[in-house]
Amino acid sequence: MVVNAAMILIGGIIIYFLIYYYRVKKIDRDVMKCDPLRATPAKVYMDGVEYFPTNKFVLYGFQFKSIAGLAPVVGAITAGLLWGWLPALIWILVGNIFIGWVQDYFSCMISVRNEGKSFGPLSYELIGPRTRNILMIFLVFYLILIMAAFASLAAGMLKASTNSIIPTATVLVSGVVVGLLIYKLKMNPFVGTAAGIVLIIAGIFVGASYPVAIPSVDFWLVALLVLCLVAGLTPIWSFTQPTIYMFFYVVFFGLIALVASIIIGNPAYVRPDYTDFFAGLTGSAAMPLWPLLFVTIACGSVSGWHSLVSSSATSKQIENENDVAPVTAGAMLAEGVLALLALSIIATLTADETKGLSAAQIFTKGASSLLLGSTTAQAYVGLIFIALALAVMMLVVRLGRLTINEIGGEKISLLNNKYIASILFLAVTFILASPTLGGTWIYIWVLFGGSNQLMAGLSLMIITLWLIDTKKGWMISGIPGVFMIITTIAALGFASYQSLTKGFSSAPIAPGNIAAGIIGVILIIAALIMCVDIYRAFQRRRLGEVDRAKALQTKEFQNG
Amino acid sequence: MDEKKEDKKRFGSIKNAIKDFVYGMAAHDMVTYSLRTRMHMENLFMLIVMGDMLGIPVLPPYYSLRLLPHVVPHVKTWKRTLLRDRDVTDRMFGG
Repeated sequence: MVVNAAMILIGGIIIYFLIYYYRVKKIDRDVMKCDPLRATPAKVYMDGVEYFPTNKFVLYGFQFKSIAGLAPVVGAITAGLLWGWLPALIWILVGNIFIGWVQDYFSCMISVRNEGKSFGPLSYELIGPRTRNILMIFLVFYLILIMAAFASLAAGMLKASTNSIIPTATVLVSGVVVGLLIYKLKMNPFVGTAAGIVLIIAGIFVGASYPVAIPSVDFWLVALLVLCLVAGLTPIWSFTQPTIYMFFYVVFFGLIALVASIIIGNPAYVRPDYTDFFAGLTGSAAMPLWPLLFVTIACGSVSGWHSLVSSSATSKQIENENDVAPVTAGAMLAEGVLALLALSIIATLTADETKGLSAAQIFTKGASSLLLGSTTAQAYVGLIFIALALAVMMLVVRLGRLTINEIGGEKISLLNNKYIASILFLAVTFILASPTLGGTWIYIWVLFGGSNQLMAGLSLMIITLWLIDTKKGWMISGIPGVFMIITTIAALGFASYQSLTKGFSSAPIAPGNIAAGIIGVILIIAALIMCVDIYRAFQRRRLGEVDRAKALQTKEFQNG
Repeated sequence: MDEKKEDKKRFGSIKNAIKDFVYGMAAHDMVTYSLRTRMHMENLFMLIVMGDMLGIPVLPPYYSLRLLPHVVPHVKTWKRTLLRDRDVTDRMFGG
């Protein structure tokens, strides 16, 4: 049977729709007993800024943008490259249906029912103070690893896609210009945005005609990190926000064009559906499908980052409880469609066509051939990829600095200095990502996925404890939570062992791999301590030492 | 006639939903960030002139009394915002 891209994409959309209408709605109605009349934190604590009832469509767009970035695209391509498209397809569908939306939906709903508290305070309350510190450890390494993985991908893309360099520079300039026009000259935002878009279109055409070739990944890596340092230190309105705003248009129109070209062109899946349980990339050891597939594809199936977005930002803006399901579960299922789109890009290329190519190069090759394969299409597709990476990196450097302040600022006052914290954060990123220092990208990607999935495991266990406290069925999150924690610890063990042995056995010794290995070991130790804390929290409930049910019910009643 | 009106209404609501969705993706975080910046500036201003309301030993100047009628509607929100315990996971999204 011939499998086509449109068949997978449309089939996936139908499956997700059915899951939404028959599963998500049922849980929303029967388990959570969602009540549109119950006051939400956005209404109770409304201040017009942080707590503010927001239209569900606006919030859906915000949630989707906050959770969907480069990770679902690269994860699906890498998994398709390693084990074939079928295991990746199954995990994208099954992971999302049984775990992904569950985590996103409950994270938001629990926060809504607990005065808009985010996962930091909730982990403190439901498990213990140490678990909240462990969440911080996961978070800081997650941010370092996402930065390293994305910087490495974007630098590789800038080296390979010579036509995309001028367009990238144009977007950065247009971001500054649009920021000045809107914020300083008080220009109508529509006019300012239109001016920025015209500038970007001109940049794409110029870039297609005038390639810029600088064949050094380290050069581009340093350039990107310096750019992120500037983005992290300047006022956010002057550079970061307007540039990300302009990146949005680049990505939005590109994704619409890609979806349309897949449905109209309907290319066939020509890649082998399954390769081997132990598959490997150039320069890496054989990688077992279990546990590595489950961390290689994180965001398209389940991702811990989403629980932070849902509980910190979205829950404070939910207008009524009826909006939680469409906003959170809806956005997660839509992200699954994005992962299916990325999977189609690799599955429509033969194994020979992708031989020796990185995930970034495969994306450019596959996506530009879907968009008729011209040089302009190549320049544009390269720009989309860089935009997806840079939009995340420019924000992550700020978040990394903030987390370093939080973890070490009290004991080492130097870490409160924004310059020192930012440079420290970016220096570790450089050690991990630089090919000269020996960092192996696929292990960094696995570690990044691992730190992300550990946060997912922790949030699923927090959800489970809350469900036990409120006398609701807890299996829906408990079983996926245990699965995610065990799988992730195994994946981290593999990646850190491989990184350390490779780092020490190579000559000269590779600091990039050693740093990655050490981070992996720290994450495993933190995860094991977290498991002990979670087990104790369960025991306390089993022995009846904790009876939060009454208190929570009273609180819910008062809110209602 | 009624059917036409109904169709027009439905089309209008779909158009608004798409508009809201695109706004949510493109500019919602930018707008909320601007609002937060304003909120922090206003909080700081109120702290300087009305700090004694929170127990901070700022001597109320003459202008505090003049400003009091304008400040009164915001006092409750202001106190709650300043005294609320903020975790780093809250501050990550600009809080």
